Amino acid sequence: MIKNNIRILILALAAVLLSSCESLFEKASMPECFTPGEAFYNNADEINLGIVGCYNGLQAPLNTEFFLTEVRSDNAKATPSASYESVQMICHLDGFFPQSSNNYIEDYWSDTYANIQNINTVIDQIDVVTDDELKRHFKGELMMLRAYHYFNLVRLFGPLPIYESPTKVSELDDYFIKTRSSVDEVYVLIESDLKYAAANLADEPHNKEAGRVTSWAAKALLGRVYLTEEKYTEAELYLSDVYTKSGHELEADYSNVFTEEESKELLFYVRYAANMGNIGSPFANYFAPIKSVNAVVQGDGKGYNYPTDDLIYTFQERQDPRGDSVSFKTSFLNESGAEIDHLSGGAYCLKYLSQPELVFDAENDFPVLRFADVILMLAEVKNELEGPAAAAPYLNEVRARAGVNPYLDVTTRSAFKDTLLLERRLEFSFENLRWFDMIRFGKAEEIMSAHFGNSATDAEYLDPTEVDGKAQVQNFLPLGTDRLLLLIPEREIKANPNMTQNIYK
Amino acid sequence: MAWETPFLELGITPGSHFDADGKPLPNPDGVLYPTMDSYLLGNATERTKTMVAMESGTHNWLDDMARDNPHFRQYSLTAQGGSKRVGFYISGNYQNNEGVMKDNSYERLYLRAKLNAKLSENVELGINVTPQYITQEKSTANFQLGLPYDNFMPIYHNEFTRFLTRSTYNIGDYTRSLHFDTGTPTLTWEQYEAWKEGKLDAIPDGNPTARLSNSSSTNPISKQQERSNTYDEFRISAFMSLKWDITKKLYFNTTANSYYKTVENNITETEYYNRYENRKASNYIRSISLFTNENTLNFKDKIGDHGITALAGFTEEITNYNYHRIVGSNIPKGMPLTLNNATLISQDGDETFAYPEMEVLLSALFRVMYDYKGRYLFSGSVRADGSSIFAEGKRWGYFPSLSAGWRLSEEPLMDDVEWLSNLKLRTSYGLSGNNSIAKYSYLDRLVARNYSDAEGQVIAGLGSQNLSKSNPDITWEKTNQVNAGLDIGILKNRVTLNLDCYYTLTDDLLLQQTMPVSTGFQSVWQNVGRIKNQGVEMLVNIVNIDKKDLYWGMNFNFSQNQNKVIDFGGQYQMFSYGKRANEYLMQVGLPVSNIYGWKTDGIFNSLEELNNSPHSDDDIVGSLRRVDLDGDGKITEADKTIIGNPVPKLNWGFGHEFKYKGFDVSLLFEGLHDFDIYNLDYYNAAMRDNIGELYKDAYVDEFHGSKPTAWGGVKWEYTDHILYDGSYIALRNLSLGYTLNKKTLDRLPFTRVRVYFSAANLYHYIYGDYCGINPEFKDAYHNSVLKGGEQSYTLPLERTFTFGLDLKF
Repeated sequence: MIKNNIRILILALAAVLLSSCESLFEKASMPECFTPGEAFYNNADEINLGIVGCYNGLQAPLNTEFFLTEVRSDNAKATPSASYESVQMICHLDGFFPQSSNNYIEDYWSDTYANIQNINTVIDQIDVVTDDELKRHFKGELMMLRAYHYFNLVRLFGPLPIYESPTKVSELDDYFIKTRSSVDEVYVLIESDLKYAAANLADEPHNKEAGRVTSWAAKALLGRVYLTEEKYTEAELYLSDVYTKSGHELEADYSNVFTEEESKELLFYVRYAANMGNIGSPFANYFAPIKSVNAVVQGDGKGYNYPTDDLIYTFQERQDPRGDSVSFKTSFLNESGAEIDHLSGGAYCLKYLSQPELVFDAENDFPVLRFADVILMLAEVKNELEGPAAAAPYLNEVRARAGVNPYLDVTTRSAFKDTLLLERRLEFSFENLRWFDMIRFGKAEEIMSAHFGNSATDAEYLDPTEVDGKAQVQNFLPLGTDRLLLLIPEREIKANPNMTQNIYK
Repeated sequence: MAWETPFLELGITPGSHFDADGKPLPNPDGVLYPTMDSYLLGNATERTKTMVAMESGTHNWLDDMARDNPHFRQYSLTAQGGSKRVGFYISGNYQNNEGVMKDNSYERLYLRAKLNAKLSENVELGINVTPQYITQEKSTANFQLGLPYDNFMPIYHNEFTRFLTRSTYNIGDYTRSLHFDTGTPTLTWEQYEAWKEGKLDAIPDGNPTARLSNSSSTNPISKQQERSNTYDEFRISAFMSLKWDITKKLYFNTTANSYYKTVENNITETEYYNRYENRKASNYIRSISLFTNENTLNFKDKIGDHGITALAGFTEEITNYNYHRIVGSNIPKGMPLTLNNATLISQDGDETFAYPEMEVLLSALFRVMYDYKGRYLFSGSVRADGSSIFAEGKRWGYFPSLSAGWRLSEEPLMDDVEWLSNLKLRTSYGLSGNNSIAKYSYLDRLVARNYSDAEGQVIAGLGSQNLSKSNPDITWEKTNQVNAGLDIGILKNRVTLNLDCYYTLTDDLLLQQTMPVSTGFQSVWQNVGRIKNQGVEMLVNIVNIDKKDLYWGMNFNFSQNQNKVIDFGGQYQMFSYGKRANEYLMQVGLPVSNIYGWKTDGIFNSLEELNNSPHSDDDIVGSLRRVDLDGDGKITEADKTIIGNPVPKLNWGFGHEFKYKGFDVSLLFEGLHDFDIYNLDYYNAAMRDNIGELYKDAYVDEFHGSKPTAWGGVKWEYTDHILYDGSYIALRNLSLGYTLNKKTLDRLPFTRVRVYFSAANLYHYIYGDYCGINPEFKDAYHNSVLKGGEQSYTLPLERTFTFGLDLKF
């Protein structure tokens, strides 16, 4: 009897213990501040939170994109900074001899793929949205952002590993042997994502929230993709549609594009906001002159994306009003009142300058695609399809807004193309378009070889405290097509034996 | 004390290297520009720097920042006593340490009370309470910060620097590197003399400007003085135990311990702290509460020659963590530096946050031990551990172990062997578990990723944290260990030897496997692979002399370990990355941790040499020349190889103890052998300052300088250039003491009086090629098996002298 009682007691005790174990584990496993990932998305509101997160993810790659685009072009160059070590890697990019361990390449690659993974995760869960129209709009937004990322990557790196679904532990083995898909395959994905987005996105941004994409943004980006692929007929279709029906228009004043919130000219842009915790723009401080203390921007500048003499003179020669004091400044007054000019490190890009209260926390948005680009792309398409006479009015529309004389000397297609490339340089300086434009126009090797050649007597690439840039650059002159692509980050190569490298001859 | 580092500034005497026009003079050998310093003195930049140094008086940032002889004080008082039923113990301990840096201090008050009471014949109660208070100020300006900072600059602006910087700064303002950056005027010696005589009021027009300094660091003294970083820490542990003797052979024991610790960290910065001129305050509170409960039922019996003990138990351990941090800035000038005066509270989730964490560990244990005549010993145990670190279904691990021992010296046969006092053979097998990874690693986590609308409102968003991919399948890492040991005692245990050999196989290694970053993650938590460890540990104690007034004892210990990767989940190798993206290689068939990089062979002395040697695009003249291992005529990633191993191959200790009458002396030597150190501090210093002693012979041109320039070419941390053998032998401890004899004590109110002196780290014999300040530093990866050996911002090794007095009433 007693034995039985003891047995019951022990069993009861064990049961209590076990249940208390489970409740303890339960309590420890779900801290309120962490939201478990994939299982989180249950409804449209939660999907929307995820989408906002993907927009936030546009910022990280953009913060290094100018190193890979503007700095490598003839618009901007690496500039000395106190921490020489970091500048060294910018110099390598500037001079077309990056190493595969280059921090900026690696950051851009990993930040972009991180956001692709975020996007894929939300797309994977999109079916929890019950309203079909909203679901298609949401999916359109996500696919547009994914296409934007792959489009940037494929133009910078060539063939790519493609991820269309979220990263899963169960598929780990495949990731370690994944191969690069061809450029054509990447474009198939970009096109299909953008077509879906163009067809399914609404014409208004979700909730009228600034920065969120619309069908017009998708169509304009698709136009840019087709243009890059030299599919002019398709490009014209989408670009004309945006041009005539989108309701977007040029700002009356060029400089307003960079100061107005929600400018009508912007089709797709990346939002930054000050004083909100980690979503401010770093560019005010990045681009202000190095060691200008508080003379240009509160909290000093880093001197990145430094305007080349060539860019400054290009504007000066043409007396183009979009240059000095609009797109950039050629000097500044330091705290003791001395003027530091562009030859001594005093020039800086002006497009993203506002006074931040905290360092790297400014307000200015970054344009990805604006209406002026739609018009100039249309000029490019018309020139290819119908010739310069049909194209010139578009070019002149942009020139008129800028307050410069119209281009009337219409001769050949190729002459017009050169004019157009120059116009794009004047219109879009420091907007990360120059590099891709030079490639699309087939002029990158020629322009860059000439640029370095001209700089032989220029102090630009010769500062002895910088890396011995000049001697290096000359080794690669004339610049070969092999060096137009960036190297795949070494970490990617080392983690996957099937990942091939772009080879510099 | 003067810090004897290899980094000290050159003592430059103007006039000896150049003429009045600032042109360099030939040195006694008649060679122009023989060294870096005289070469540099020839130019306006170095000339002006020298003038600043002459006007400001030479000083050394390290000396300015560090205390000459920091003092440590420690007092303790202990009392114990009691009656037959109740016993008590009380102790108090007070410690007050000055730190190595001037803004560094540590103060601790630690009390402990213990009480044991027999409540009845068979119930015993124990109580143990330890309150503790620690207040400390941690250094803001790291020791190594002084190294890369230009020594020509004074701490504060003086008349000359005000003149030189065109009256931009006031006398007494902190100097900053950027005050002497690009655009600083230079002077000729005549102009300098004229200024001294009061004949020069302003910098003459047309004087060339130069860049005297290019450091990105902040004036270390302004950092020390204008930023305060205090920690207040309260801890209390309350422990209770209850032992109930149910029968003579069976007792039940239960213990409970509550531990609470809270650390409040306050940081304030004045507008003078750095060049951003922002007044800031932050408050960070971390608290940990831990509750442990342990219940065991114990059985012990002896039936004839058979001894048996058994134990069954259950324990639980619940830990709660709380982290709260608020960072405020833009405090108006004149207002006290407190958070409520901040006009801007940071909304950055990395700065301002509050979050809880919780961890639970539950265990059940069963153990049986059996012996026959004390000669043959066996034991077996099994434990089950459940950890909240893992997901449901993966939480429990079961760990059995078995052991056997044979005390040969107890065998009747051995009774005749007088000299042998103890001989024991033992062997064991056991399985043990490891769950020491970050909490919630099995869980996908979303973090705030916001955006904003046009009205300036935050739009809430969420996204993955993209560093490490979670893995719901991770579980306990398991280690199988086989051990064989031998204990010998001879001559009444005057000589004892303990020898242990072990062999372990670790399976399902818990590690962050590097992922291709295109997956969106840097790494993933995995149970993968198998590692083998084998080693020997030995301990010898010898009493050489043991007489009434004279005693001499010595001990020697030695251990050696080797590990090897047996399998890595079907893969062949994995690279992981250190602080500076330097690489570590893990490869099947090799030791676990290998430093990976390029071998170097001198520098490129000329463009011709560079062009005619295998090189890479980023190489420049004066930079390190790497070895073309694959012989393809180019330097590529394929030329990298294993260049070092951070794990010591051997370590040992050797101690002596002498006593003669009231005097006692003890000595302890220790040695660590054959391991590599990545000296990133050397690199930092050389990076910033081309004229340090260490950098004296840096490349200038074809004819001058043989050391690599830090200003281009391959980064040193990817090569063996800053890799050193850190092997050393240390005189770890030396102590001398004197104890008063009984005769003298009788006249004093004490039962024991001892005075002593001891010195720690008195001498290090570094026989490897290491040349930094501390071969014993702990690096950021001391918990990782994959990485290690990176020395960065290391504090110097402390040599401590202690004078002490022990009194017993």
